[in-house]
Amino acid sequence: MIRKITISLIITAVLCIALVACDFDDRSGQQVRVTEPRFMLDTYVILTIHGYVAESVIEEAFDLIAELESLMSITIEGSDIYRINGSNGKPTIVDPRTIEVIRKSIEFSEISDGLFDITAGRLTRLWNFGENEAIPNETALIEAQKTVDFRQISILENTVTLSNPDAWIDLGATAKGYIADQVASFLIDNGITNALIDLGGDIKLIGSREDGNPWRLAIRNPFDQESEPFAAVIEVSDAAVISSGTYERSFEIDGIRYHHILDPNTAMSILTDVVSATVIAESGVIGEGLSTLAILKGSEAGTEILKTHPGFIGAILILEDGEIIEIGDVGRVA
Amino acid sequence: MKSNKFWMILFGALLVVSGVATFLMIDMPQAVYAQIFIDGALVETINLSAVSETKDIVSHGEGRYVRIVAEPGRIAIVETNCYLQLCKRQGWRNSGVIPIVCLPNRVAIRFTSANLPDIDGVVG
Repeated sequence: MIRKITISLIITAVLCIALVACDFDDRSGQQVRVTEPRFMLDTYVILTIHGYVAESVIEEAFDLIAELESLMSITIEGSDIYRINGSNGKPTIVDPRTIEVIRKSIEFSEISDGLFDITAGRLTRLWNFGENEAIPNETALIEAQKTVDFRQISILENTVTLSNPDAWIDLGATAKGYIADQVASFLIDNGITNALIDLGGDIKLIGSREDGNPWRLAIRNPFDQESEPFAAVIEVSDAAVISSGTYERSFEIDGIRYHHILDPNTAMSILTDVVSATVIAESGVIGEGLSTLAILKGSEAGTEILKTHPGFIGAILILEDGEIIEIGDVGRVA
Repeated sequence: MKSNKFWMILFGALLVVSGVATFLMIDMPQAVYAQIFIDGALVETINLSAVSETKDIVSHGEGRYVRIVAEPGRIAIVETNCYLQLCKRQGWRNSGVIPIVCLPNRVAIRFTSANLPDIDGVVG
């Protein structure tokens, strides 16, 4: 009898140890996940890092975002862009990182024949999507439209000059992607191997999830977010995933939808068959530029540009009739 | 014979215990927590499943004003002084991967639950 009790106790103990061991092993595999949200860049920023990470690294990453925002914001007084726009056509000395973003933006302007144009600053401020839901005065729109032309930007070493003193630069279509790239580089330099940098839906990924699988991202459904919030789910590692959409920052008047992606030729929202463009790219700045380009150029011409652009990995375009087009490697799982 | 009976009772007991535990785990409702962030700082976590009466949370100061109301199983921004009222337009929510965000007032409500889809981020 004593022998049986002893055996049963040993079995119970072994089972308990096995259970605890499994649990312990699971926890050590998961490591620590830190998720920190902030309101920055006029959006909701979330840094998710897993592994062993010092609190100071996260704070320094947020400091870096704030620093870059203070250089590239169109509204922050004293920023590089604010000073260029207020320079009355005189050369303005700016940070090399601002020049890098301006140069990259000009490349997108060139390949889109000027549809993508960072000198549309006066137009974007007139519309002020996200904070305003009214059509601006027509005369003001025409005056603002006259100032748009990326060819007027000249860069000499660390100075930027706009030949039209009335023109304004707005880096809203490229800066967030660039900032995501800079934060990713900073985190990698500080030993972070797995992170998700979410700048209000512009996402840069380092490494993978805790379980070693790629990060899982959902793409918003542009049509019916109540009953079906996501149009697709993709798995991605070590890349940027950036979306642009005509349903974001938009409003409707008399059955016409006005959205924030503007056509410099008309000063109005671009007419396009692409409602949502999600681009997976090697860098955030490329992803951001290409996702906007896909909207501006439409599905046919946009696809051609995307497929041949260096750093492009894949894209999911959602058209106005609901069709979903996959280009390249998108890692779609749902 | 006695030995067999002992082992049968032991394994039978183990089966019953594991069966009851599994049943309880499956039947257990998954709690949904709403985390309220103001200026990026977590100020309150509410177990929506455990809310029994209406709970008011007001964030104000420096020209900002947001009133959040939690009711049994759901939460919403019901009043705000921001111009477009996009956060209020999101209405009542009981869960979801996408947070309720009021950018002008720097308020966010995020949901956590074991029942949420296995998603790390949302684009678009």
